[in-house]
Amino acid sequence: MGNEKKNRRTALLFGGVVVAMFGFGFAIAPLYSLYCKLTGVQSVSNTSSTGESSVKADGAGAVNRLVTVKFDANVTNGLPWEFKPLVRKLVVRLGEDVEAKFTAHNLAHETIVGQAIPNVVPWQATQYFNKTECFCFREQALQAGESREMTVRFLVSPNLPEGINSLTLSYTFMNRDVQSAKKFEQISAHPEKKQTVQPESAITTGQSS
Amino acid sequence: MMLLGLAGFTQAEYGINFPEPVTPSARDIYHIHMLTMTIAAVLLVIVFGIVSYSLYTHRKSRGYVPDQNMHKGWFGRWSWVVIPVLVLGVDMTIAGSAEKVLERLWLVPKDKDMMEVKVTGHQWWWEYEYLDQEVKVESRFVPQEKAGDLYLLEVDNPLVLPTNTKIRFLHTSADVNHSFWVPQLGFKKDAIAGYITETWAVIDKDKEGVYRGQCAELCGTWHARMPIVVQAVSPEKFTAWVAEQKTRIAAAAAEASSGKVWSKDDLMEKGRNLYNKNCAACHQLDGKGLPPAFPPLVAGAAFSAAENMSKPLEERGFLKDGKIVLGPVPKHVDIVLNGIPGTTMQAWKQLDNLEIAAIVTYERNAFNNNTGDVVQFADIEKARGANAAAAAR
Amino acid sequence: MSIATIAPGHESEHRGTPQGWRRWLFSTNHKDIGTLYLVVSLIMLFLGGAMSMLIRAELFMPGIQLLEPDFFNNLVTNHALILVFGAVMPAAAGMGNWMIPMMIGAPDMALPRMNNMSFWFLVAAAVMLVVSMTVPFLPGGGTMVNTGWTLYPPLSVQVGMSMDFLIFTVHLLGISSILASINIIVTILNCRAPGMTLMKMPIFCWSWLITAFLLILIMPPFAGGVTMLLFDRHFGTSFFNAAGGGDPVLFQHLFWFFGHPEVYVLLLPSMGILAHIIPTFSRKPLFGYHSTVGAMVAVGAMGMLVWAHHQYTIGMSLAAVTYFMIATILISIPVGLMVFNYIATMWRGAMTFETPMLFAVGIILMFSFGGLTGVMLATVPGDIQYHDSYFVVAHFHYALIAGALLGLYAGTFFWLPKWTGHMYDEKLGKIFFWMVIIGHNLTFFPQHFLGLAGMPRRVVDYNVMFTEFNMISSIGAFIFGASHLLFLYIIVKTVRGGAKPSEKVWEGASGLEWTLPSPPPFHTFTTPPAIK
Repeated sequence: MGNEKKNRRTALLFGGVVVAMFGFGFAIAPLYSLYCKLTGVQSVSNTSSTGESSVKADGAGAVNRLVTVKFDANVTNGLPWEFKPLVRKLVVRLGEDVEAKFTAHNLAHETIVGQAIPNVVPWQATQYFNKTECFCFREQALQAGESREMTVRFLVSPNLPEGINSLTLSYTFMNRDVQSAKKFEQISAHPEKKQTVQPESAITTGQSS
Repeated sequence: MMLLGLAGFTQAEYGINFPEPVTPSARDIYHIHMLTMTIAAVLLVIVFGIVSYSLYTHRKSRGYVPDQNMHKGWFGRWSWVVIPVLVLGVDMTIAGSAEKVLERLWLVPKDKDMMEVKVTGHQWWWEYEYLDQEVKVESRFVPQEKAGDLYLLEVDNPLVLPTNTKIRFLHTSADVNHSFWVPQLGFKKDAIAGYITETWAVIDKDKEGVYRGQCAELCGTWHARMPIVVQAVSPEKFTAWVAEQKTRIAAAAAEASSGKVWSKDDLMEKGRNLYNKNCAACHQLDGKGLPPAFPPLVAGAAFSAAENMSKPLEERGFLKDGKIVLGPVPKHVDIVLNGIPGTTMQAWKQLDNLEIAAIVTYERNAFNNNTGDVVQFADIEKARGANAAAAAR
Repeated sequence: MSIATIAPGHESEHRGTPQGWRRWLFSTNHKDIGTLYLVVSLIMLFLGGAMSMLIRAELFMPGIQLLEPDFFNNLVTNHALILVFGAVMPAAAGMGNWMIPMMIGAPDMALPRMNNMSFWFLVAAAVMLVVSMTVPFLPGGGTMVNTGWTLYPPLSVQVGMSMDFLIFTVHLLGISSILASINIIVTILNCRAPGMTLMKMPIFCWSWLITAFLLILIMPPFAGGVTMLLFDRHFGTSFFNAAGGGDPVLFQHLFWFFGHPEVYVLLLPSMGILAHIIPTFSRKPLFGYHSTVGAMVAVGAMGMLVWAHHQYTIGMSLAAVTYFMIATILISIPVGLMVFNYIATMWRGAMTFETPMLFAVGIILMFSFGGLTGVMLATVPGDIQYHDSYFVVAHFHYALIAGALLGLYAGTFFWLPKWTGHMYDEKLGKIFFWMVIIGHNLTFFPQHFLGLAGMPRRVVDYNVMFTEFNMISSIGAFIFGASHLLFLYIIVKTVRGGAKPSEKVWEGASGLEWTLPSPPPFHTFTTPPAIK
C-alpha cells in the first residue's frame, strides 16, 4: 500500500529528529561558549573571564577619572572559614592597574577546598571590571587552621559609563565539596535559642510602628 | 448582589490596608496600586452589571425569546475587534504608568560613595553589615513571651538606618533563597547564595520611626519567624549609633581579654549562646550528641565508638567503661581549645578566652551535669600559654 | 486513514463488554478510561482537600497549635501537587477521554492501548507521591519536602530522600501527560467524522487540542529541571550551586517556563466546558466561535512567553522585567475576548439556571475577578509588594478554583446524566453550588487584604494583626471543604440511580454527543455519523 513508504519516511524523519536532539545536547556546551564570546554576555560568576578584552592591562589607557572601589567578603553556611578584605575602600583611576588583598582562614580541623564567586555592584559595571589576576579563577584549598592572603589584580575600564562612581567588588566563598559543606552546616536557629544581649542604647526600639 | 457589595467594600478597605509608605519608591508603588485597583474595580462593576442585567432580563422564565441573529448585527460582526482594542487601551494605560515608575524603582542611583548596607539572609535570621562603617548586626526574632503582640515582627537588633540618605542595599544569602521585604520602604529583593542583588531606598526626612517586614521566600522550617525591623533615625542620631556600636565592639573585646572574674550565671548564659551556635551542630542542643560520630556531653551517657575516637577520650579521662565521664577541667579546656587530632573535633582556638571559659563552664553544668565547676578567663590564658610553651620546645 | 478501519475485527477481540477486574486493568475503551481518571481525581480531590483543611485549621488562629512547621510546609507543598496533578489534570483528562471521541464522531481514541498506559502511569505517579510523603515518617527517612510546590534549590537540595521520590513522581506524571497529549492530538487531527472540519469542531475539543500541545512543550523542561536537581543532590553536579558555577535561579526559570503555561493547561479544558454549557442553557449558539478558537490559541501561545512574571524580585535587568510585564498584561486581551464571548452568548438568550449554568455564571464572575487581580500582579511596581504575599495566594485561588475546578464541577453536573443515564438531584446540586460560592469567597476574598497588609505566604504562623481575616478565611475553608461531602453524595446517588433523562437531556443541547443514548453503549460511532 502507498502508506508503507510514507510511514517509513515518517519513521526515519522522527528517528533523525531524536539523533539531532542528542547531538544538540552535546553541541550545547561549545555553542554556548561561542554565543558568550560573540555577544560579550558574561555570567556574573564568570571566574575566568576578564571583562572587556580590548582594554590593555598595562595602565596605558589610564584616564583622569577616579572612582571608589569597595571590597566585601562573604562566606556561606557550610564553609567554616573566616574571610575578610584587608582593605575596605580604594580610590582608583580608570585604566590603572590596582591590587587588593583579602585573607582567608580555615577554622576547621581538616583541609577544605573553597571557590570564590565574584560579584560587582552595580551590575552594569561588571563588564567594565577587568580582573587580570584573581584568587577566584581557581579553587583554593586551605589546610586545617591555615591562613592565607589572597590577591586580586584588576583595572576598571576607562569606558565605564559616566553615571557610575562607586563600585563594590564582593566575593562569596563557598565550599566546593557538597559532603564537606553538609558536615559544617550549622544549626543556627532553634526555639530555645536566646538572642544576643542588647546593650544600653540611646536609641530605643519603639513599641509601635 | 453580595458580590457588588463586596466590590464596594473592596474599594474602601484596600486603601486602608496598604501600610503607609515612607520612601518615594513606596509612594510610587502605592499610586500604581491604586490605579490598577481602581481600573480593576471599575471593570468588575461593569462586568457584574452587564451579567446581572442579563441574568435578570434574558430568562426563559420571563418569557424572553432568544435572539438567534445576534451575530449578524454590527456589534455581532465587529465585537471581536472592538473588545480587544478596548482591552488593549486599558492595558496600555496601565503599562505606560507602570513603566515610568518602574525605571525609578529599578535603576539604583549611582552616586559617588553611596552608603551601602549588605543584607545577608540566613536560616533563620538576618545579618546586616554597614560596609562603610564596618559594623555588623545580627538580627534574630524575639520570642513570644518578650514580644507579646509584636511576636513575629520584632527582633533583638534592628537595622538602624538614617533618614534622608540614599542607601544602596546589597542582598545575598548564606544558604538558601530568602527575600528581604519591608512594605513601607517599598522594596523586596530575593537573597541568593553566591550572588548579589541590589536595591536602593531613601527614607523621607520626616519619617523617623520603626518599620517592620518579614522574609518573603520560603526558606525552610522557620521561614515564618525571620522578621525584619528597620529603625529609621535622623542622620545625626545614626552617626551617634554607629559610634556607639564601634565602642561596644571594642569594649566586648577588651572585656573578653580582661582578667575580670565572672559569676557562674553570667558564664552559663554566655556559654549557652556560644554552645548553641558553635557546638550544638554536632553535640546537639540537649548535649546528647549523635553517636557514634559525635559523643554526648552528658555524664553517665553510654558511648561506644571506633578506637580513634574512644582512645583519646579515655586517655583524657572522659570515657570509662563505655560511659561518658566529665574528666578534669584542664583536659576539658584542652579538648575545646585544641580539638582532638585524628577526629572531627576541631580546635576552637579562634574563640577568645572568655568564650572558651563560658563554653566549658556551660558544658560542665548544663544537661544535668551540675558539677558546679566554673572556668575563668585566666584558666584559658594559662592553657594557651602552655600550648605556646609546648610549641616552642 | 479511514475511521472504518479501526472498528472491524475489534468485536471479535472480546465477546460483548469485558467484565471484572480485567475490564478496568486492561481497558482500551475511552469511556471506561475516562471513568477511571474521574474516580482517581475524585479520590485525590479529597486527599488534597483534607490537606487544605489542615492548613486552614492551623492558620485559624495565630500561634502554632496543630502542626510542626516542617510538616506545615510539607502540607502546603503536597496540597498543591496533589490537587494540580492529581485532581484537576486527571479530571480534565477524564472528561476529555469520555467526551472527545463522542463529540467528533469517532469510535474511540486513536491509540487506545497507549490511553490505558497513560492512565496507569498516573496511578504509579500517585503511588510514588504517597511514598514521598510517607518516607520521612520511617526510620532514617530524612526530612520532609518543605519547599512549596515550586521546589526551589538550594532548599530542595537540603531535603531528604522524600525529594527524590517526588522527582520520580514528576517524571511519571510527565510521561503520563505527554502520552495522553499525543493521543489527543492524533485523535483530533485524524479521527474526526468526515465533514467535521476543524472549524466545525466543538470548542471543548479545541481547548484540549491546545492544552495537549502545551503539555508536550512544557513537560520536558520541567522534567529536565528536576532531573538536574536530582543530579545536584546526588551526583556532584552544580547546576544550581554557585560554588560550581551554577545558579539557583536557573531552576526557577526552568520551573516557571513549565509553571506558567501549566496554569493555562489547567484552565483551558474548563473554559472549553463552559463553551458547551452556556450555549445550552442560553438556548443560543456560542457567540464568536472563530474568535473563541483564536483567543484560546493566543492564550496558549502567549502563555509560553511570560513565565518570569513569577520572578520579578530575583534581580533581573530593567529590560527583562519590562518585557515580561508588558507581555503578561497583554494576555488579558485574548482572555478578555473569551469571557466576552461567553457573556455575549448569555446576552439576549433565554436562560434557565440548572446547576451547570449556575456554576458557569459563578465562574464568569469570579474568574473575571481573578483575572483582574492578575493584571494588578502583572505590574512590576505593584508586584514588589504583592509577590510572595497572601495577595498572590488569593489571586491564584480565584483563578484556579473559579477557572479550573468549578469548570470541572460544572462539566460533572452537565455530563453526569449522559454518563450514567440518571439525572442528578437538582435541589442538592443547587445547595452544593451555593455552599461552594459562599465557602470559596469567604476563604479567599479576605486573603487579598492579608497580602496588602503585609502577610507573607507559606507561613505556619503569623502576627496577631492578621488574626481576624485569617479566621474568616478558615471558616470559609471549612464550609468549602464540607460542601464536597455533599458533592460526593450527589455523585454516588446519581451513579446508583435517578430519574431517566430526556432523549436530549438538556433542552438547548446540541452536538453529536447528545445524539447518543444515555448512558451510551460500550462502543459508539462504530460507523461514522453524517455531518451537515
